[in-house]
Amino acid sequence: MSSAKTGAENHFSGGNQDLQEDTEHERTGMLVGTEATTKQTWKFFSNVSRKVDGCASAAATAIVTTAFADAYKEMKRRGVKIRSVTDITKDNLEHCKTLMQFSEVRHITHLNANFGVSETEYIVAPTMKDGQPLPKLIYSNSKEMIEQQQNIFDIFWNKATPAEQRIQEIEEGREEEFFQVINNSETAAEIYLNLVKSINSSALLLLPSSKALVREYKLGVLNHLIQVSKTMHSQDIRITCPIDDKNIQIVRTLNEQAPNIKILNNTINLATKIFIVNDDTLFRVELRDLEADTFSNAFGFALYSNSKPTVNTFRSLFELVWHSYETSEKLLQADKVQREFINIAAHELRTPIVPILNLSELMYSKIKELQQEKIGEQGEGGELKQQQNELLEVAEIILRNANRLYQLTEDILDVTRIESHTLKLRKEKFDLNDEISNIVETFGKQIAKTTGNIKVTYEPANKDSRFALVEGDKRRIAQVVSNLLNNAIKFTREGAITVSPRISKRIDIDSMRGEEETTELIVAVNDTGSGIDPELMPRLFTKFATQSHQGTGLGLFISKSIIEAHGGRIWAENNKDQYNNAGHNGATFYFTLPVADR
Amino acid sequence: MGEKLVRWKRSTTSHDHNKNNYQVLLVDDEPDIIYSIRKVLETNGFVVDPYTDPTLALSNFRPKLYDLILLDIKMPKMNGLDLYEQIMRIDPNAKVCFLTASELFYEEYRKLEAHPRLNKAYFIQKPVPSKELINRIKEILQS
Repeated sequence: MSSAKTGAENHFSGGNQDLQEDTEHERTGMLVGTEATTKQTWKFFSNVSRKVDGCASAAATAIVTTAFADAYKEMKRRGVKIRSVTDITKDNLEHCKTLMQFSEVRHITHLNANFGVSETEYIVAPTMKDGQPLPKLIYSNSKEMIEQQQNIFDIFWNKATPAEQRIQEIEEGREEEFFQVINNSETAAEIYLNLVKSINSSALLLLPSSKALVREYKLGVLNHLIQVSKTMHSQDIRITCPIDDKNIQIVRTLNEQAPNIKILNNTINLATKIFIVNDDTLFRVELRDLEADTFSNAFGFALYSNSKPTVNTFRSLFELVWHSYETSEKLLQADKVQREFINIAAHELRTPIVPILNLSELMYSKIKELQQEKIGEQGEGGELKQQQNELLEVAEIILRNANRLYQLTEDILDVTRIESHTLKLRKEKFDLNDEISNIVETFGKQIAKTTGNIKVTYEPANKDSRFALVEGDKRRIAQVVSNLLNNAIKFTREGAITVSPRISKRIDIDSMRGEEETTELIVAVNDTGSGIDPELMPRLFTKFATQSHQGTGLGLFISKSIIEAHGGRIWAENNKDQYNNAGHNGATFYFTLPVADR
Repeated sequence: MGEKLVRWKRSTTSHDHNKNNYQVLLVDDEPDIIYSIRKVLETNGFVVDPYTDPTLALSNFRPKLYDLILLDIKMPKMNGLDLYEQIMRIDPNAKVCFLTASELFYEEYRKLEAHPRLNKAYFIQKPVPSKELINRIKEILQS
C-alpha cells in the first residue's frame, strides 16, 4: 500500500494540500499517493447526494467492489441512483454481478477509462493496473468540467449494452455481439477477405450488379471462395448476381473450378451487397457506384455485425431472393426444354413429310401430264387409259393423305405449343379485310375447280368495316379464317358460304374503370351446310371435337386459342331463319378482334 | 445421292419449256429432301446445284454464281446460319433463303446470331406445297 510521495506531486496543482476542508471554491488538481487518492475517493462517494455515474475498466471493477464496497452499500442505503459502465469479461464476471447489486450496469468492450462523476464533483484515475490501489487521482469540482465529464459518460452509457445480455453471452459461451460501421474501404476490404477465409459452413453472397462479381474477382474474394469450396466437405456457398457479358467468363470459371459453388442469375435492383458467413456474421456494403471497376471506388460504407436478429433478417432476405430466382430459373429451364422438345419434334415430324408431299405432288402432275400426252396419241378408251386412271387415282390418294399428314403435323405442333404456353405471336398492324378477301378469293377459285354448287363470297356488312386495322399475327389470323372456311366447305354440299366482317362498338363494364367503350371487328363465316350437331355444340372448341370422319378435331381448338391470345372471342351458332334446298339452315361461326389505332 | 440425281437429270429435258435459267444453290443434309426440292425446282425451270455437305458447298462457293441460295438450318458439321455468315463474307450481295423444318424463331435468330438483315420473308418452312415454294422463291428473286 506504500507509495512514493515526492515534493510537488504530493500537492494539488494550486498548492493547497487541505483539499477536503476547502469546498467553497472551484478546484481542479491531481492527488498522488494511494492514501490521498483513497481518501479523496471515499470523500467523493460520501458527498454524493442523489446520483453518481462511474466508469471502470475490466480490472478496476475488482477495486470498486472490494475497496469501495462499503461506500456503494452506503450510497444505496441513501437512495443514490448509481450507473456504472464497464468491460464485462470472463475474469471480472463475479465482481460485475456484485456491482449490479448496487448499480445499474452496462457493458462496453475494451473500455479503458476510470472515472466517477456526481452532480458536484468528478474524479479520474489516469492509470490503473490490475487491481492495484490508485497511485494518482484527478479531482475537480469545476462546473464546466463536471458537465463535460457527464456528457462523456452519457455517450458511453448510450452506446453500451445491458450487463445482463453480456453476462448471458459469456455464460452461454457465445461471442459478444457487435455492430460496426466501417467508412474506410481498405479496412472494409481487409475484413471482407478475412471473413471469406473464416468460412467453415456457409457463405451467402448477394451482388447487385454483374460488375460487382468482376470487382470481387479482382479483390481476390472469388479465389478464396474457390479454395474454401475445395477444402470444405459439407458446404453451402451460394452467389446470386446479375449475369451478363461483363461477368459470364468469371461465372464459367467459377462453374469449372468450383462446381460446389452455386451461382444464380438475378435482376435485382439494389445498391447494396450482402455477405453472410457461417450463418452468424453479416457484412453488408452500401455501394455508391454500382458500375465502378474496383472495390474501393464502388464502396460507400459497410455494416459489419454478428447480431443474431440482424444476421437472421438478412439471411431471410437472401433466401427469399434466392428462392424466387431459383423458381423463375426452373420455369425458364422448363420452358427451354419444352421449346427444344417442340423444335426437335417439329423437325423430325416435318422432315419425312417433305419428300412425301412434294414427290406425290410431282408424281400426280406427271401422271396427269403423261395421260394427256397419251390420250392425244391414242385417243380415249382402252386398257392403257384404265391403267393410267387407276395410277392417277392412286397418286391422288397419296397426295390427299400427304396433305392430311402435313396438316395434322402442324395441328399437333400447334396444340403442343398452346398447351405448353409457347405459342408465340408475331404481331403487326395490318388490314384484316385485305387478308380476308385474299383468302376468300383463293378458296373461291379452288372450290370452283372441284364443285360448282358452292359459292364463296366476301361481303363487308357496313361501309366502315371495309378497312379494319388490327394488330396481330397475320399468319395465325389467316390460319383461323382458313380453318373456318375449310370447315364450312366440308359441311356444305350446296349453297353459299359468306364471310362478312363488321365493325362494332362494345361497352365493357369494369368495376375499377367503369364503363369502357371498345371498337372491335366481328367476322362472321356463314354457311348453308348441315349445321352443328347440338350434342357437339358445348365442346365444339375443345380438342378432338369433330363430326367429320376426315378432320382431326384440332382446328377449332387452335383457332380459339389464337383468337383469345389476340384478346378476341370466338363462338358458333346454328342458323335459325335460312333454309337451303336440302332443308338445312347451316351454321355461322363468329370471331372478334380489337380494332387497332391507326 | 449421286445415283438419284443423275437419274433425274436425264429426265429434265421434258421441262425445258419451263426453263428460266435461274441458278440455285441448294444445301440440305437430307438426301431425300435434296432430291424432292431439286425435282420441284427443276420441274419449274431452275438449274439446281445440290449439296448434302455444307462445308463442301462452302469450299466450292464462288461469288455471283447463283441467283438464289437455299439453305437448311439444322445440319451437321456446319449449321445453315454459320454457312450464311461465311457466304456473306464471300459474296455480300448473295440472296439467301432458309428452308427449314425447325421452328422459326426469327427474332431469336436475329438477336442471337446478329443477323439484322434476316427477316421473315427469307425463311420458308418445310414441308411446303410445291406451288407455294415456287411462288415464294419467285417473290424473293424479284425483291
